[in-house]
Amino acid sequence: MIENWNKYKPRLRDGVDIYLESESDVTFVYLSSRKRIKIKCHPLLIKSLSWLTGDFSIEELNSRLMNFSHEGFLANNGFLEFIKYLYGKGILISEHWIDEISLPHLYKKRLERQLNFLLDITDSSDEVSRVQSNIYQAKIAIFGLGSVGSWLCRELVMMGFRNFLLIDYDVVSEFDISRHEFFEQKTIGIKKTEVTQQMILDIDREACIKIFDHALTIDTDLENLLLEIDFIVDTADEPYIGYTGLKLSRYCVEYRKPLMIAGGFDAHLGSLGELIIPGVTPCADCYNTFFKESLKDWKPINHPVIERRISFGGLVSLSVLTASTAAMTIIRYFIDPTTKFEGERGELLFDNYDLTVFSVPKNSTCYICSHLDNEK
Amino acid sequence: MKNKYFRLRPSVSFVPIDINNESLQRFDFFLSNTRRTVPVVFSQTILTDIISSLDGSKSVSSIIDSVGKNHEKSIYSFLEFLVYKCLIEDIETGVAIANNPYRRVLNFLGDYISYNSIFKVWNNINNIHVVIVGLGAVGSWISILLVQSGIYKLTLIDNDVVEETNLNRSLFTYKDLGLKKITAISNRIKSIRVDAKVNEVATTISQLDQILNILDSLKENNESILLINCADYPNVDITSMLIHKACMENRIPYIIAGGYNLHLSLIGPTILPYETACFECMALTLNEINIPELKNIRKLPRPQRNIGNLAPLTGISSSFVVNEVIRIASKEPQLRPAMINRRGEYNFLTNNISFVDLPRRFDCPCCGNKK
Repeated sequence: MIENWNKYKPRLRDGVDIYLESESDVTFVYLSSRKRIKIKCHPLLIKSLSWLTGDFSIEELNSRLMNFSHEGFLANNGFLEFIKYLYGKGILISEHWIDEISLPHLYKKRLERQLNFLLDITDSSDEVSRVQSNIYQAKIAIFGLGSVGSWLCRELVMMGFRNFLLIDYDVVSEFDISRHEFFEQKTIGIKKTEVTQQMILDIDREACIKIFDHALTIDTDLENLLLEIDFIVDTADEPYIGYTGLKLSRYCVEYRKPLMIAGGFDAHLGSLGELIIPGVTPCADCYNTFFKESLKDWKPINHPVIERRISFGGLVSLSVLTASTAAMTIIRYFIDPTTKFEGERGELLFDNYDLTVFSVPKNSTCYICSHLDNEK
Repeated sequence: MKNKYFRLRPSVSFVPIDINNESLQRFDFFLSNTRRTVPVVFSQTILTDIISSLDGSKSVSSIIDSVGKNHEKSIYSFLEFLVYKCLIEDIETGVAIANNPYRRVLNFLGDYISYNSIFKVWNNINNIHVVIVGLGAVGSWISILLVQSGIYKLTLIDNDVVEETNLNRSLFTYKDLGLKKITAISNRIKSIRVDAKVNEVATTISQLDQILNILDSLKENNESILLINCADYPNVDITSMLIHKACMENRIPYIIAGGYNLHLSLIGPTILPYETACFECMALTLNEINIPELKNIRKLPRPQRNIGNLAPLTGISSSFVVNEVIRIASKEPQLRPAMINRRGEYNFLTNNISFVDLPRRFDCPCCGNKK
């Protein structure tokens, strides 16, 4: 909010492009939404646009304008009206807009470039404040700190998430060298939850971390474990990715909480993962039904090799791709939870980096989630 | 081959598709690491029986004995076919892979490289020397991911110091504040691999000679060199031109690491000098396709813009670069780089990747028709 307009130093937002079509026509294009505003105004006002760098106050700019023209309208607040109009449209921002966000100073300093990103992708600094504050407060549970989970957790910390519940029973092994974000020779043998906790604290000393270092079983009381959690991430692959996904999805549908089931598991190394919003997108049971049906005639023989777990292949770069696309989906959700998220499965093929995405419809007869449709 | 003990690769599924006709049975081999299918039609069920029990416990001689010595030649051909298509491996290789800390990478490569060449290719990958110009966001990710992929010889070129605002997208921590970026990354690399060889060059490349000297000293060691351009200082175009000249002169393959632009993660091109489109070929094509604004419209110049960015976009750009490095380093035709003669954009709002073809140009002032 501008209190003293005369002292205000107008600054053009970086996320808006300006096209000068003639002496008196200008088009503003919002880079993120591609929204356009075309206006006709006095040539001097258009000239003044290049001065709006946040370095000069309205007072100073007014007197500069007076040097170019003595026309009365400019002196009679014409210029100020122009500025107020642009400010109202989010084209101009306060040069201290980051200071005005009520979040800890050091937190904002670390996240400065992201705040700028959010300003480009939303329409106003108030929006940015809202989004980053939601991120600041959100409590996230991450099931599985493996190849994808470890990188996703890192990216979530880097984006300003700071309240974590970490669930993993495993310890770091020498074979994690080609997989996990937190791998160091000295961490071999240490619990993954402990190593991840340290990684988080090395980036955000004020982060709030809870740990559950047991395996997820049929008896795990999710209701109690996830009582305070706002957002759940499933990056587990044991006992079997499908099982964990179903169990978590059923919990999320019941308690109306969003769930990100990341891809990147065996046979789906380049898959992008699914965001499940109960009642809006298909749930894990919908996905399961869909794939069971489409794969019903595809039945491999029992593999002659019994112990196969250690023989699957993967690249850390593909894990990072999966983690990063999951992180982008999560931040898209926090930017606007009402965004239309589609049910879909995306797979990147390594040969040519072709990304095939196909839709998965919500199952209207799903015995887990279809009752939510009737609530609308 | 007689003394080999083969097994169906554990990550390969054998799927009956149409087995009603015994003399014409269709099966698919599904290579699950890369989601590729090899369809095969079998004229004899004895062959599918062999595959179904190929667990590494029987030598090729014993398989031939049980089938009949008169079939020796066909069994050999059949097994050679399965080896060639990366569907089977011998148990000795399987065990060697399983004991290697990088076994995930080896098993992945096994979808493209036959078992009998796996360790030769792995050696190629290990021994490449990667030069990284610019250890900003993308550079920091690439360095670490390369070491996690098996590369351990790096030259890092950057003169900058780690600052707080880097932490939102670069792989540094609070412990690194104040350190030179090349040192912070070098420390991290050595914590992953104690035997990593990292040259730290605290310079900003602004002259051709600087980069030429670095490349010359590396060439003295007779190493395979690959360069990755992650620089954006002083200016993307200036540094790109210098690196282009240096790499073309020395015939060094290089990758222009993409950055990000709002909701787009850029996937940069791979350049193999005098084989694929070079930087100047691409500039020619890009100038033609970037439709100039309508004559009367000009964009307001804004020198101080600070376009924001975030971690996942950096992750996405770097992941593609690392894939390309593995491909180039392998020196295998089956793993030819996929970003030659094009560049890409990943749009996270639509989950879409699009590519722009940038072919080699015979009117290119640099590489024209030269070989």
